Amino acid sequence: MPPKLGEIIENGPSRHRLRKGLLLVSRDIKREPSQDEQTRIVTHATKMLTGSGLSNYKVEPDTSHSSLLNIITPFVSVHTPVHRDIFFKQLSKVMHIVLNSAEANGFFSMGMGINPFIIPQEGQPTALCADIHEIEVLNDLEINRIYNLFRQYLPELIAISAHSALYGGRLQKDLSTRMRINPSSFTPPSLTLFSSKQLDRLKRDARKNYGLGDLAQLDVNLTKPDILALRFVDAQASLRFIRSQLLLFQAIAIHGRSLARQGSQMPILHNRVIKENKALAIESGPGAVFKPDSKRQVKKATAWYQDRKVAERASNALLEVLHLHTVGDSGTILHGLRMLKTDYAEISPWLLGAELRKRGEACLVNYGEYQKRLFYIARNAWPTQLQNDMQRLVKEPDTDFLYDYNKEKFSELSTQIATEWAEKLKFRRNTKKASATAQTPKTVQTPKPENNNLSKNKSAPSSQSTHTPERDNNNISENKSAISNLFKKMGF
Amino acid sequence: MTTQSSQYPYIEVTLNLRNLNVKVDNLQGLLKIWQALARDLIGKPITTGQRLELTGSKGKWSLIVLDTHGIASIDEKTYINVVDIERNPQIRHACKECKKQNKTMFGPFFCPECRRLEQPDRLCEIHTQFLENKYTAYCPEHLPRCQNSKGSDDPATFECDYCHKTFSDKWKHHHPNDQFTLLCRNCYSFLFELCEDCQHEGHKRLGKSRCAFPTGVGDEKHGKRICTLRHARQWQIWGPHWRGIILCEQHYQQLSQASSADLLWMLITAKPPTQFLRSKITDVYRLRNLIGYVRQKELSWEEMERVLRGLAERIEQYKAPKYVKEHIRQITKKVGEVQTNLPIIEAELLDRIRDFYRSRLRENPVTVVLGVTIKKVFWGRGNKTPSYKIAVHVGRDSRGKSMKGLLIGKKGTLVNQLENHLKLHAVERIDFEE
Repeated sequence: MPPKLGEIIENGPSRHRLRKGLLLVSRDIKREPSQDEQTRIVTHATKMLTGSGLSNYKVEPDTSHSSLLNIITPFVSVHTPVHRDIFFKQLSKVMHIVLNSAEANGFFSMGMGINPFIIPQEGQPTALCADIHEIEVLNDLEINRIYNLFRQYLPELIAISAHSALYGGRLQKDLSTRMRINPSSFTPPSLTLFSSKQLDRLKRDARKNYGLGDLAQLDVNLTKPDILALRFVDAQASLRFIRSQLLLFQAIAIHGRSLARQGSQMPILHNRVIKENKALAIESGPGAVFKPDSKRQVKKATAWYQDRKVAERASNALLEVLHLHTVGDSGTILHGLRMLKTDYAEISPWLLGAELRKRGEACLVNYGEYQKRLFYIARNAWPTQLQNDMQRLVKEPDTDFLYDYNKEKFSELSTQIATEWAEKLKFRRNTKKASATAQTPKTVQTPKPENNNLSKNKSAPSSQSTHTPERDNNNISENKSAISNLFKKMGF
Repeated sequence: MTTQSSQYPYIEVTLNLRNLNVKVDNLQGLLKIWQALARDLIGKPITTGQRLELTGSKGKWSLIVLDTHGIASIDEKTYINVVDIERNPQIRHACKECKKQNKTMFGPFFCPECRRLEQPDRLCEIHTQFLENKYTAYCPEHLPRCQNSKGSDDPATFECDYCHKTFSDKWKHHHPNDQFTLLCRNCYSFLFELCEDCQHEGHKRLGKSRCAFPTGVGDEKHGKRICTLRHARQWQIWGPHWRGIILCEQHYQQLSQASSADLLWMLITAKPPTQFLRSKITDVYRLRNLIGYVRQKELSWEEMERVLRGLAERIEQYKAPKYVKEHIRQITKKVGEVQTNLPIIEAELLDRIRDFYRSRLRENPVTVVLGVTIKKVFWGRGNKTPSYKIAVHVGRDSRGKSMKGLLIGKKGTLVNQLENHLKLHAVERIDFEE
């Protein structure tokens, strides 16, 4: 008797790895660590990690600058809230250990795109700190589609990831100064053809046509085997915010995966427009007004601003993207979020801000805006305040200043948005009508044992179950016709 | 970590069914495969993050264990929750070459030439052919050919990054400072080879020019690298203000002894420096005059026709550029027309000149004006009728003295009148020759 199949998700998430960047600053915020000090902190933190049973997490010094550290997580599955809880709990511990190690050496660590307090001496490199999200993608076709999706939504994603508005003790004109001054950031060109075996040709082509010597410097790096690395995210301080970003990235990957498997190609957005919008996003973050691509040709126009050919605010554009059917018969990114069994609370850090901004409220959508606000509110005390806030975010991983601020300021609206989104994200497996099942994600839900904490809906519908623990596998053949009818309706 | 009751243990996995022999795109197919293959899983020890590779009767398949939930090995009671099924995509664009072998393989690439011809164009990884430094995919049929000057038809392996023509491997050169830039032999030599004469003199100067004197084999040229500054010589066929044909010192000195075929070949294949000079290539009078000037001996129309016939035979033997073929065709045609029409016009002009002198001279004009030759035909821009430069052949009197003076008249009065008289007949200039 073979082992039985339980829940089946047709297009699901893949494993995820995070290279969390951390910036080291002396306690008096006047100097950066030397290379020796950096090594000392790393050695101390590595010892502490081994002692805490977190040896699969690595802390490595960044070779590009002595004030940078990277926490490299293992490849973990993030397909349920429970797995994500475990992952972020561990990451929080590691960050705490690194902070303690830094403090033991007279420094403190913080997640931020660029050092807000110090400007390096002339001729010295600037410390550019990034969170690099690595998504496991095992197939060239999927790499192609997911890469193109991230390329297409790059401005929107940069808009919520900007976190380096303060630099050298001054407020900058850009919300993401790191991206502005980063010499190794290139807008990914559109790829209609991709094969990992032809990577050398692609490198030559990129070099010839785009003047790009190293493909690894693309904002979406596809040169690593079986990995798609997102290099455009400024290092974040809040673990809750990182979690919300991770979910968004994984949902986009799920969407790309489903596009690849159904053999769909997506219409191309011109590089010129992406570059322009990216520059706007770097400057103004979620407040940027993106320009449409007037030359873009699509067979069937959607409600996306690029299809409507009108300018749109970045935060609204991102919300549009979530609901967008990339091609006629494809799912949406929201669909991907449902596959990840996302809870509203998980994506609320940026989602609440974007929804409030859409309603015309003066709220915060990313940490770049938070920095800006702090600079104006706290006046001369902002460095101390920022330092305290960053440390608090490490020590209290459940805190997210954006969400707290927005919720406190717009409590009624926040509740309304939460209700709306909880409904949107609902995994509609309890729907009894056959017509409704056709709209649900393409999953087959096996009834879980009562103490299964993974599934929030403990009672699964009988109409969608393929086989139950009580049933014998031999009964499957009896239900074949019923199953096939059901899955035809679901489009499996 | 969540716990699972001992009665219903479960693990979470990602399935990879890409390499199976059977197509999996519905649940029934999955269940069948599961029934057939999952037995191999029983008793397998598992750990979180492990990749299990399995081979069954249906082919290879694998799973990545995402979470064991505390289970050490899979048994009959273990439930397997599938988080993602990696499977082959629906094939909307199948490889056209695989289709010929009754196989269906996804074709991620397309042949641009097939697309242009509106034929099936999709190609899989196996049937795609690439040039070394291009990301364009070609089907075996449309892989570009080597465009070298020898006229061979080998398949191309790379595209020259300078001239953008395609060449086979034997023409390949790497840029000296950049291994990714590929150059053909000609471009490499143009860009990086030194002037041969300067090298003999112990200097290092780039030989940016090449001697264009033909060797007589195909369109091969002498090709000696010479510096523009000191050793290049020019045959200024486009006038004094335009760069002419580049020749080495030796060939420049021997230009007057060169054969008509070589000279004509150089004139026909020379690249005009501007657009408006292009029409001059097929101007037969210009060609004839240029050759006559260089050799200091007039080229007869008959000889010109014979030379052109020889050149036409030569271009048949190798794959000459289309424009050369076209030029030779046009010039041959014009020479033929000239040979037919010119005697008629010349006879008409002779009659008119004799008529003019009949009332002005005591001598019989037939003995004075022996003949007329059209030296040059001008085609002004936009003009529909040509203008002529003619030579009037003058006879001698009984004492053997030239009668040129009689025809010119006192202070050139007669010749001025004759010019005005003939202007109506498009004669621009009259020379008297004995």
